[in-house]
Amino acid sequence: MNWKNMRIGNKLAIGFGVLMALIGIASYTGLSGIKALDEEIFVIGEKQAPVVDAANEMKLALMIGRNAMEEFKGATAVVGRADEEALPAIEADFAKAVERFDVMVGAILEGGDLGNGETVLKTDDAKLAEAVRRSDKLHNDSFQVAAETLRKTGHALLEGRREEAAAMLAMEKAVETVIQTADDAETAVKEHIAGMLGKARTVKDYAQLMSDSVPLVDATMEMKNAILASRIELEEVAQATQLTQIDKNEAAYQETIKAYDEVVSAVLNGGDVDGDQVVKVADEGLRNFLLASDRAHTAFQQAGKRMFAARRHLIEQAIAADQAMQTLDTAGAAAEELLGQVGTIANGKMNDARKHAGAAGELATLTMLSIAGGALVLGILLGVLITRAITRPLKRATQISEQLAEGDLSVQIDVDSRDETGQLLLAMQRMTERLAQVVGEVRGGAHSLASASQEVSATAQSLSQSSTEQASGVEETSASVEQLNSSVQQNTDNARTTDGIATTAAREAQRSGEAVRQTVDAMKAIAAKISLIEDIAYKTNLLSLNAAIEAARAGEHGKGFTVVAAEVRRLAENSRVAAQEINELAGNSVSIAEQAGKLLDEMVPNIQRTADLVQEISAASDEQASGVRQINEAMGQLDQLTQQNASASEELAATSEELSGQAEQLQQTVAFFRLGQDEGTRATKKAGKKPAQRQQAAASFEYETPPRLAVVDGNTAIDEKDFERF
Amino acid sequence: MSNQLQAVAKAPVPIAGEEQQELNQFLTFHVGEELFAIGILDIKEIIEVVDISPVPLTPPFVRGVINLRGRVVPVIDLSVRLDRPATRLTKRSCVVIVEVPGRDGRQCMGMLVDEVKEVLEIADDAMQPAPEFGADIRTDFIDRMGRVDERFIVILSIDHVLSVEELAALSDLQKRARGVAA
Repeated sequence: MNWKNMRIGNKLAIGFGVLMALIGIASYTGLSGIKALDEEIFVIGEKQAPVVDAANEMKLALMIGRNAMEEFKGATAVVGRADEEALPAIEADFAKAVERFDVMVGAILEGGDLGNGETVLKTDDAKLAEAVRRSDKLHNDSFQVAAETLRKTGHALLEGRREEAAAMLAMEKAVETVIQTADDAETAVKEHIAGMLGKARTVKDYAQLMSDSVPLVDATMEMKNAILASRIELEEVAQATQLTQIDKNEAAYQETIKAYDEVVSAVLNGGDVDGDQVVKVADEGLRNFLLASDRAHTAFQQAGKRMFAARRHLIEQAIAADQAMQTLDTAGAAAEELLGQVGTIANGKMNDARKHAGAAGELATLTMLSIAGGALVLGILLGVLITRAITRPLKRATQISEQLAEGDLSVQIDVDSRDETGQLLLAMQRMTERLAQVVGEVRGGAHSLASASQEVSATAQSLSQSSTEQASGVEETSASVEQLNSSVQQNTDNARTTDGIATTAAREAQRSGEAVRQTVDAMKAIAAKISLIEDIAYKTNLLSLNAAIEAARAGEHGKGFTVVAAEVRRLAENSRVAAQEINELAGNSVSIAEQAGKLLDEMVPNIQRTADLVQEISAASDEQASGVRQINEAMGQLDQLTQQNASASEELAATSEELSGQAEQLQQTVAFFRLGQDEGTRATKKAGKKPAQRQQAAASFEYETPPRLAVVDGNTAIDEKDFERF
Repeated sequence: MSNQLQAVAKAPVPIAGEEQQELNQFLTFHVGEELFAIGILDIKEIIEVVDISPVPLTPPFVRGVINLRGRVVPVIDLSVRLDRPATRLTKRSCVVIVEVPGRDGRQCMGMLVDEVKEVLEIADDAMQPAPEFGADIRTDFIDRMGRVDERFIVILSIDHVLSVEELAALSDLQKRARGVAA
């Protein structure tokens, strides 16, 4: 099947199918590109960025830990600054930082939550993991160990500081005691000397005294000085931060101790102080004072020693703390660098992913654009083709329709395609042929109609005449029916009268029966009364018999009585006989009356039946009358109808004339159509060609041509004959 | 009328010796369809049927007893006694009171008949003795046969009809009745 003969639906289906296939390919390409992009974005967003974040977090944790330790160190290591209360908070901060660091490490190596809503996927990069692991190791082995050392030394420093303070206090107390004893010794010496002066009576004594006592006073002064010097040294030690300075101070301190010891030994045992000869103190009280001072001094020395030891320890610890801090810094720096590497690796991955995403996007765009271009070109091509396939035949159909509107039924239609438009043209071809045929038939019909209407007119006139005749006949019939009606009415009246008479007769017969019955009853009553009379007669007889018996018993005396009794008996007999006769007569009357009653009873139903029959006759007569009335009405209606018929047939005549006029007009109207074959006016050119063509068309579409076409084409005489027969 | 009857009944009692002179007067009556007669001098009176009180343990022909002016009088159903069906009481039924010889002298008894007819006088020459046979009844019940107007009427013998054996039963009955009355 070539393109021309293909159906429009199929054409559209093929075009849209190709376009949809192209759209499908484009969609697939776009989808795969988007998928690739999505993957890369996933790599950037979900995998590497959190790792970078985690590395930064770890760095931050390291820094926080270091700062915490520095603070800790500051709080403990610097002598003279006590800030013990801040220590637990600092240690907690450090522990938090360490924990945060560990969480990060776990998140990067094993995957997990960072704790701030961000999720880290387990890293799949070995180098990165190695770097993280190493930084973790550094953090665990060096950073945290150093921090622990720092923490320990810090606490030791604190302890040492407390110890030093205690030593200082002890030392100051000892100093006070020593100075007190020294003062006491001095006072004692001065008093001793004053005592001696009071006792001295001579100059020599004075001189002696002066030469002895001045050095003594000096010596005591010296003792005090030495103690004060010692104290100054110790005070300096308390401020010292270097071990060398402490060594120096200790040497000076030993000097002062030694000076004091020398003075005391000189005073006690005699000797030489700064070139002055000191006489041994002989006074016992004075000696006691001096010995007490010496003892206090020994205690003071111990305090001093403790002081030194404490300070030394403090400084050593500070040094250790410094070292630990250094180690911590080093480890922190190393870990930080490793973490920097981690960031770098992650950033590198992210950059790679960005590059991949860009490439995939470009590829998808390119593919889609090329396919869209192809689809556009193809769509335009198909659109033009399909439009041409539809519009051309439609234009042709429009032309044909216009020709048809002009009444030209001879138009020639060529069909060169088999799609829907081709079918439309084909249908129009058939329509024109049918129209031509129908118009031909109509023409013939109009002609026949004209002649037929004239016939109708004639017939209608004769119909009118006969209707009038019919009307007169109907009137005569109507008069006859009227007569019939009156006679039936009379019958009805007679029947009604008879009915009344019969009813009365029946009623009276009934009354007669009643009277007879009453008579019978009366007779019966009479009979009863007469039997009473009979009884009386019998009893009278009985009496007479008794009388006769008595008379007989009386014998001769009763003879006359017997006669009377016989007379009475005879009378009784007579009355009995008479009563019996009356009774018989009454019985006869009763039976006669009863018979009469019976006859009457038989008569009553007969009379009743007669009355009923007469009633039926009356009803039948009534019905007859109403029937005749209906006939009369029907006759009236018939009369009316006949009149109407007459007028209608006249109207029909007029209408048929109008019809013939209309038929002529119809002929004129139909003449508007040009058939282009055996029409006289246009039969010249296409007369030979068209019937053949039409036959061909009919054959190709299996068209049924009605047989009446011949009649239409042929003469009108046959038509008229048909009409007449009809 | 009953007053009249009573008046008749209260008539003076006839002398016994005079019976021979008036033998030819008879009372006729019906029992069923048959006509019988008895001597008028045997009769005390005729009364209409009044209430008859039946008495148990008596022969069937004893219809019962009636109260006749304070006396107990047994009533014999003559129809049954003559071997006929029992008398049906009608308006015409009568009780004929007769006197029969009993243990204690004359005894009153009632005879129930269907209808009394008349008192007849039959001459002696019209009398015939009771036939030897041919009669439908016990011949000893028949006294004589009286001819009246070419037809014979059976004249019953009261003494036989109301015989001694029956009288014995009747006297028992009377005694019992007296015992009841006492």
